[in-house]
Amino acid sequence: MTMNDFERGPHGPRDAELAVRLETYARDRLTPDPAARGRLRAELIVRANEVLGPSRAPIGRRGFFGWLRWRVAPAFVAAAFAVVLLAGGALAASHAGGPLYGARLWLEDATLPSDPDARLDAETAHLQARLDEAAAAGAVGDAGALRAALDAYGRTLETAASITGANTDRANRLGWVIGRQRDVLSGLVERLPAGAADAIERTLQRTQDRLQQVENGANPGGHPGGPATAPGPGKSGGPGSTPDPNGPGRTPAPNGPASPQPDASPHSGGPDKSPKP
Amino acid sequence: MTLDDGEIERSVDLARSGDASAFGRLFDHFHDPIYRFIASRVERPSDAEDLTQIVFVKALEALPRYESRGIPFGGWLFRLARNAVIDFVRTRREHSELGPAAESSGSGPGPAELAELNEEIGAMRAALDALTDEQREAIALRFFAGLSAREAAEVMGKQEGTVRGLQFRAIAALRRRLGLEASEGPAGGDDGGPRP
Repeated sequence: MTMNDFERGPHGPRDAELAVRLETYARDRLTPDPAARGRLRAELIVRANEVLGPSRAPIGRRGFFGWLRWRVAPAFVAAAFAVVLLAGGALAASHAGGPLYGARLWLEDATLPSDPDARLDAETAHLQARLDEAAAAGAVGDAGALRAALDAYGRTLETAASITGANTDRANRLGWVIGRQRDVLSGLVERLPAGAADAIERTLQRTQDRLQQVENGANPGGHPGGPATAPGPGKSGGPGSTPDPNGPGRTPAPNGPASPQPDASPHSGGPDKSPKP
Repeated sequence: MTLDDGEIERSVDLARSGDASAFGRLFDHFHDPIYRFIASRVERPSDAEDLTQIVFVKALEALPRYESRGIPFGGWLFRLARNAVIDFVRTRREHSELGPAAESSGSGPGPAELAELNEEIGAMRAALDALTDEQREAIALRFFAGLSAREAAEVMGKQEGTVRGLQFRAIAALRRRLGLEASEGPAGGDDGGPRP
């Protein structure tokens, strides 16, 4: 919706002036902090992977092929049984350190989406998966699996860092995830034998380097308390979070507030063509 | 990022089937309007951030059980936001008014321009505060969040015409409060009156 729409309203220029003032107010007081948005997004993606999970595929729609499925059900069950046997073997072999682990990682890489944001989301999920594998391997004292998972974590980290490039929003999101995972890695070091702990120490160092690189990318000026600092989980900056150092009202929203509508007045009964949020 | 209705529906389906990046796309599309709606109803940006987080976390957790039932995903999300604001206001009636100068940094304009801007922002805030709750909600949904009258009506649980009327009276009241009222203008009717 544009200013012109409002100028056509019953009060013409006065309504246009009101629209300008409302826009100024929205820009100054209602513009979200990009760093807080990035942190919240990163946290939500991590939670989405936990809450939604790949196993929650919706039940297929019944209908046209329902009858056909019923007819071939016995054959389908037999085939599924065979597939389960094969998949079970493959799954066991594709665990961290297993013979098919590399193939699984390759497959994950090959199926990454091309859109940078979606790609970063996927790599974030992979980072969490590698960390979970490392934690599981550490818990049972499987040093080979632990090393394999940490190596894969490091490689994924490099890829994820390269995806962020100079994009501040992506860098903020990755910075939040790395900061959170660093804490998990630090916790692992204390619970593992010396040999395994060395591998984690190296990964921690690598993580620290990448975190620094990401923070620099997100905040070339290097002001203190930059946007890539990681808050505690569960809060997007929390009640004590500070506004954007550049001023909350100085950064225009990606899609700014809509202007008042021509149908603001009952005098005008035109169709409603306001943009969707 | 902007998505059309079809893309929103597809993203919801994908997210429900476990695609976290689809939820990320929905977040990208709805975050700013939801934040602006909430920020226009609470005093502090930190409260707006917390409530926005609550809304998206609730949406994420309820998504596996979400069914459209005639209400589009955006409307459902804004209802969550509206309920979160209502709960917040009910439980924490805080009015720790921070002056515009305390909330805005002065990195851009000079002192004189900043003072003028702060005065303008303060006047607008006072004018918005003087509206009734329903008028303010209508302005927040229609202007700050960019919803259509029909969408705003769905969120508020009112008729579309009622929302248009609320908006009309709110704009008339704002015009009058800000000294933009035409002396011969037709909008001198009931504006619902300022809040006590």
